[in-house]
Amino acid sequence: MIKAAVTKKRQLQAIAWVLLAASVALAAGTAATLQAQQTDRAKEIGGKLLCGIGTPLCDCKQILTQCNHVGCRNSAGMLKTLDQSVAKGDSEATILQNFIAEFGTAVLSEPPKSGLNLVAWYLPGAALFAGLLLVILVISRWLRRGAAAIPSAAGPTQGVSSELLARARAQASRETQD
Amino acid sequence: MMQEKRGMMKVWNVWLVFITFLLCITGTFLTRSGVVASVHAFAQSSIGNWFLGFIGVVLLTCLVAYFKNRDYLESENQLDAMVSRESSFLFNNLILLVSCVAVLSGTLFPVFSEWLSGNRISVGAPFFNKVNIPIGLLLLFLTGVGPLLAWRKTSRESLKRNFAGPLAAGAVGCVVAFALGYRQFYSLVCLTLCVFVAGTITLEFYRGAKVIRARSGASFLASAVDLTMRNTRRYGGYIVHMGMVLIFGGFAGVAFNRDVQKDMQPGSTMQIGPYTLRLQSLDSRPEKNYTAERMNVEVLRNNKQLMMLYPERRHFNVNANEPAGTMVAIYSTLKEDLYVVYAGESPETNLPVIHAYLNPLVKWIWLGGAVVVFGTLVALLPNRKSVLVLAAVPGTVPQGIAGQALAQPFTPRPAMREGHD
Repeated sequence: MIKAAVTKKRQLQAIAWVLLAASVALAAGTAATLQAQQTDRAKEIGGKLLCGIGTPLCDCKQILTQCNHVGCRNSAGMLKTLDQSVAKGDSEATILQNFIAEFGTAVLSEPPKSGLNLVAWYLPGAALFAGLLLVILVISRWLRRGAAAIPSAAGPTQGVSSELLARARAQASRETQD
Repeated sequence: MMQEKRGMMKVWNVWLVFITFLLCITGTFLTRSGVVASVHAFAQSSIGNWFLGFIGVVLLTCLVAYFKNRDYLESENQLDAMVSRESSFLFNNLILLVSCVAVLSGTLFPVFSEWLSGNRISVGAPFFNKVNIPIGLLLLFLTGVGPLLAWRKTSRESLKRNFAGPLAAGAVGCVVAFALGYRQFYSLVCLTLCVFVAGTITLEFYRGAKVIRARSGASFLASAVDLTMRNTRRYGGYIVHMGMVLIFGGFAGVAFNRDVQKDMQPGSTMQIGPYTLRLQSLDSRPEKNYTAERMNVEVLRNNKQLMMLYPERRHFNVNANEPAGTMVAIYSTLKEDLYVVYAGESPETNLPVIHAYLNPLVKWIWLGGAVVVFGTLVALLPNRKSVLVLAAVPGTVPQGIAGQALAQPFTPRPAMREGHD
């Protein structure tokens, strides 16, 4: 009888522990799906960080403050750390450095403007500059070739037949339609 | 268009076609092979090697096709001037190619960086926004400039005549936008260029319609429609440009995006822009395969009820561990979009949290898309041609013989009428 009562008590304790664990897990889950309150400064710094880097929790790789990944289990923790750092009054460089120390440089949403990464920043501008030069060179070459093709003196215009004139008009009309 | 009209830039066109196809295959290769991390890389396998081989075969085919046919690709004409419609096409192509280089280099840079330095970096949305916004604005500028330049050569007088009005309109637009609060540089430039481009398009329609109106006496709108139907490709193209103006105008609104998040008790309110959001109540609604937790949010403006919004979180029955889906409630107007999100419950207060976003001019982006589609459809229509029709001049045909014109002698005089071909 006593043995049965002890067994029942243990069962109840086990159920209580399971319920407690479940409620803690539920609370943690709820917390994880909620985006933390953000100040303007936290939003600005969070815009320079990516969510879901270097963690198996989530692979969304979205801007931290804009992570709209349903049920993202990563952003809530990162946002909380960010908010705490901002509340402490840490500088932006310190906050970013702390995140880099934890997640690596890949946590930054854009390449740092130093070293090899400068190639990424300057390549589009260099392509534009080189392309502009190329286009101007090509046009200049065409212009020179076009000028060389035109006879030096105006040829006799009286010999132009009406057929040739009509053809020229049709060509001009076609070429200038659009 | 350059090839069709002037027999120029054939090599350029052919290589653009080749490169476009190669880049499509390359994009698929990058995601499916796992070279670039992507949600599309869902099936990791050795398929990347096959793609690489295919790209090699396609490149080889392109090169052989080009060298075998290059005699046919000789240009039939030369460029006559630096400032001309032809050169504007070249610059336009250049800007689009630079945009392609920016996107491709940004996408591949993390891979190269890791190979070269062993350091893994990310290239996210802020990089692409910073690099592509100036390129997009240059493209918008050329959208306005191109149609105003003449084929072959544009004289200085023509430049002054064509650009004075739109430039003045752009300047006025800039001042008005600044006065309205646009302070962010790119937004201000974007709106200025939008007004400039809209000015050039309006000018094109106005000039053409004015000529037709003077001749036919029809209304201005009918003349503009007539003008469009006479050269559908040209004016359909302008309509597409106008659609792009609307889209860019919508983009300019990003400068005023804002969001607010607040823990809400039933009956409490929060403010975002001119809107007051009041949480009336929360309820739970069981559906076939999910249970919805729903917020009943009253939207007020100037203390007057505007509407009810119902953001909700859906808990699907399939898996209890599956995170809840968020259904956003939207109030959309031409001026702005209000998104209301049920963001969950606050772990500190256990209160439901509303995250509200106010994004101006979003609808203009959708409208612009519709206008682009409409312009494309117009451009696909065949041109209506002017035809010479013999018609009796009023007064020369006696009354009562309508329908028997050929039975009675009268003096026909040629008169111009418009008709479809």
